[in-house]
Amino acid sequence: MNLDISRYSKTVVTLLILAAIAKALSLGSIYFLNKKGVSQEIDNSYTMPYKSYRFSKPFGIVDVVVKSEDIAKVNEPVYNLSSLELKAIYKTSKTGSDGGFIVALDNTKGKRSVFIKMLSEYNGYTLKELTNEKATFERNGKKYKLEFEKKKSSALLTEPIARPKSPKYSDDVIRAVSKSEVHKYTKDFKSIWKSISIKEVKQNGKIDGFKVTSIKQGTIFDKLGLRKDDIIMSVNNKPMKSYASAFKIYKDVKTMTSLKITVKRDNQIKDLEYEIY
Amino acid sequence: MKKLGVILAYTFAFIMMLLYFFPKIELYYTLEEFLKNKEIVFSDEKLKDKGFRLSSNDSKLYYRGVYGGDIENINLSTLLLYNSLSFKNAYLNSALAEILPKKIEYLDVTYAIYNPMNITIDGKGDIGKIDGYINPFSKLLHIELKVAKKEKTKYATLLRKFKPDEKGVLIYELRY
Repeated sequence: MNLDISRYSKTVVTLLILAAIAKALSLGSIYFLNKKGVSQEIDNSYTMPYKSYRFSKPFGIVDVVVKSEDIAKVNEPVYNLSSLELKAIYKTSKTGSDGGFIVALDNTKGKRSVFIKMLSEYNGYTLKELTNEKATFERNGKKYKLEFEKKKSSALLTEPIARPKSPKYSDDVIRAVSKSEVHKYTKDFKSIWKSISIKEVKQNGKIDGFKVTSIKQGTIFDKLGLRKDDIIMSVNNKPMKSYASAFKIYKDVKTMTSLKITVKRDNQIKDLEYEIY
Repeated sequence: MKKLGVILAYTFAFIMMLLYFFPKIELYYTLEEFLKNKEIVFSDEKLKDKGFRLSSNDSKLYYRGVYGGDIENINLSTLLLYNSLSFKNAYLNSALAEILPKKIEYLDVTYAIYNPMNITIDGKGDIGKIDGYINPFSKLLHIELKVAKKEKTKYATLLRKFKPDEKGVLIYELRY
């Protein structure tokens, strides 16, 4: 009996020693392991919803909102009027729409000086508009411009100016996009992927915008004026520094009334502004 | 012979004690750090060291900073000869519902002595039944997915990389 007690106590002592060693080794291993977990930092700071506000509004000057379907008109072809050589422009108002005249040399008539008054007709061309740089004529619904220092021509010829290669839609207008069109994309996530591909741009290992790698013509992204190789730097003044910020825009776009996309294009920063109506 | 048996018994007891006392929470934190480098973050979880396993409740999953969903329970067991990582009831972000299944009932990843060549994968979710394995020696990930017809259309984007076999099971393989 005495022998058994001694044997049990020996086993218990051995197990306790082993437990102590195991615990010591486990505690020692903590040194090599992380003592703190990883948490996702969430930006809970409140920021005012982005509103497009222009200082001209309180003075009654309201921006012209160009609807997406009207944008094509902005780029309608304008033709050079090369039979005349513009020498001077006289305007009676700032806009030149009320009155004024131009002095030009007619190349078809031995460089004879001619005076053309606003809204008057010359060789079938009606003078419609004057600016500091050019006079715009109209004939058969087509527009013709006459600028300073133009090439001389022997006949009354018109030559079309090459339309800009890209974009189809003008850059320098505030575009308007319908809410329903925006909602169509927010409801159908897959259609975004079909329309546009973007890739993160990294600087020093951190995301510094998203590059447009491809864009399908005719889609909303094309209409918005985004182009291939544009780098989207910020949306509504919020820098695009993570996928989370990009995803937040996707989630919040439903409630937005205006949108400003800042892109880097040909090493120049450009703002693309939209009204969502 | 008896002495050898005693030594083996003590060795087994020592290994079990080592596994029991091993700092599993710190091991989990180390794993989290590794996953962070792959832009995967488990956040806001409640950890509990349950002796031979570690339990994590109510964690939020983020990928590249984007909220991916909530996972009700994650269990990590390391019994040397039987190791498993199981996820229960994962509810994925509804904003991603068009491309990812809304719910994953369970997903078990197991490495056991009875199948030493493969790490097995077994799961079930809205999308269907998932089976597969990772062979760490040939560096191959093989996933088989049994999906209902309706789900095939619904998750067409996700399933684009899967190829059907003769039985109609969708297979995805990746060599890493």
